[in-house]
Amino acid sequence: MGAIRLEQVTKSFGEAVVIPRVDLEIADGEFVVFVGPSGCGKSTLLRLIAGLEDVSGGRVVIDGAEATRTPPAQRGLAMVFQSYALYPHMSVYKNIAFPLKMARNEPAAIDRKVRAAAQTLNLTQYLDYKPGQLSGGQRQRVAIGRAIVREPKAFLFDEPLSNLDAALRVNMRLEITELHQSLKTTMIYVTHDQVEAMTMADRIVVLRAGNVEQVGSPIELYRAPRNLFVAGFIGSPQMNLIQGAEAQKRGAETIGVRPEHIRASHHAGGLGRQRRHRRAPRIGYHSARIGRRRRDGKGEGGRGVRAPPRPEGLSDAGSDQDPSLQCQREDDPMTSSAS
Amino acid sequence: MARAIPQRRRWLLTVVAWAVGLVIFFPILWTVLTSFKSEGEAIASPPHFLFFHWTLENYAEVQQRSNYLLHVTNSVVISLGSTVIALVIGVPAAWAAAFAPARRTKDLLMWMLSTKMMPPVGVLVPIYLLFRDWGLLDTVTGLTALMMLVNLPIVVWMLYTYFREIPADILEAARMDGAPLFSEIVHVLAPMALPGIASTMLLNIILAWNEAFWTLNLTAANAAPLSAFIASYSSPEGLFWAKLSAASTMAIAPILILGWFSQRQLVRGLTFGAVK
Repeated sequence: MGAIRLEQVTKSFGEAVVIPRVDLEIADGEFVVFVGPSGCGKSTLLRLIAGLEDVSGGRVVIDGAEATRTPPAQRGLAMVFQSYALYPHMSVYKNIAFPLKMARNEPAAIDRKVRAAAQTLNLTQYLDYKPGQLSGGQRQRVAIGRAIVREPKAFLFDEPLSNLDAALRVNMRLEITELHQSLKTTMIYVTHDQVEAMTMADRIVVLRAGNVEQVGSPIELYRAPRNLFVAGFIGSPQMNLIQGAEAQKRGAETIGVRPEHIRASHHAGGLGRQRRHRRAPRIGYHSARIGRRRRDGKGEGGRGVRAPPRPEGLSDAGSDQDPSLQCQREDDPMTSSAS
Repeated sequence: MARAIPQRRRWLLTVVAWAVGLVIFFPILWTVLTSFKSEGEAIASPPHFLFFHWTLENYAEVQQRSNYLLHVTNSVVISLGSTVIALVIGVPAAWAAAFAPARRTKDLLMWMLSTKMMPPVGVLVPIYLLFRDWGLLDTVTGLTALMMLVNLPIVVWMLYTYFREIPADILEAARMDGAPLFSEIVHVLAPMALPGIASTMLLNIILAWNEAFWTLNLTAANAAPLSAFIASYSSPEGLFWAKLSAASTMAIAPILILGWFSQRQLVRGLTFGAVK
């Protein structure tokens, strides 16, 4: 129903190459999240799929049919915008009815579908309101309503939650996930928020500078990031990337240790065995600084190591003991020779 | 933010404002007053301000000597017709400039504007010859077409400015919702830009209504709108101030009334986007 394939898709605006080359396959019914720092081309990629931008090269295939030159209206996709993009001069009812009207549905069918969508999204009592009279969360629901009445092959979400406050965002995240479970329609979701990506996605596509850095399930990306960028980007608090002697000992330029795999200890051991640590630990909510900074600032502990809050067996402050790292999972630290 | 203004200053400001307003309005007031005077009193020195023998004879005479209704009709057809056609062409053009700009769009817009910087007399001869050869001299059709072309750059520029205030997202949403270009413009863009479109329309009606250069040069008896009609009461007929004033009053009355009723719309449209 809603399989989407990108074949060697490229996009440039004038001289600026935004998407050097992307190959991607999205299966029917999948919830795929595009994630990456701002300016990484994730929104552009979504707009290429939507047809709002023309590809500079390559093919877009929707449901096995060539759609590269198909105008957005005929691709059978629905999009939810970051700004909601509701029609301000139309009531909620007319907003939701608009795509059906454009598809020349019967008035009776339009009415039935609009009311059903409003019911699902708890909007029934707001049908006569104008978008300007609604709160952010309600507007977002209207935007989703406008998308679902079309029964599209796939939903495209362009950072739909970034204009909402934190509490509402968590709720809407859940609602969208539930919507996906009940509709079982393909969803492509763009966000810069990796927590959203990790909690919602079946599969995550990590993008940087228009390149796909890695594609995989959240747990794959977390456990086995393919390169330093993915390792640093996925996971909160961030993974510790340690260079220097410890890394070389394991035959790598950089090793990564997840903060939750670090335990501060009073006893020497683990990674810090050969070193003398003079500084007392400074334990913040998310980070503990362990080790000493070398003059040139390149010491292995110099960058600060993130560890879970309040490591066991360590008092808050004032301890002069030598804490050191202990790697809980020495079998599985991520190693990488890339930089 | 409210600022406290002392009562005395407030009075002073009010008086100054009214004085300035009156100075600006005075020529129109004087024209209207003169139109009710006899020719003798119109040139009296010192002039009689309000205490003269009020008469309607100038209006009667003007009615008799020329076909006022014809000129009004011409004015309405030319100004309304040219504005509507300009909008029909200008809305899609402004849409393209605002939402689908290409590399040379800015240059194109500047070029369009530059045509307004050239004095119209510079193209009088070629246009006159074209009109003569195409049989458009002294026709409402010819003048409507010309007024449309003369005002088109302004229409496109005004609409372009208004359209740029409209978030492109919403038009893209319409596109995703399956709206073809025509529906996108009619159902989504036009209603959202309505204040802008309305003020563009009003301003261009006024500009076309008051246009005198082309109407004087390209029309005679049949297609002459009101601006040419006023001119016919000036020097060639001798200096009949009262009759000229009556003609002027009759010519500006319709547009003045239109302006009066639409001033709120006009102001709102002209300041559109200035205040978020």
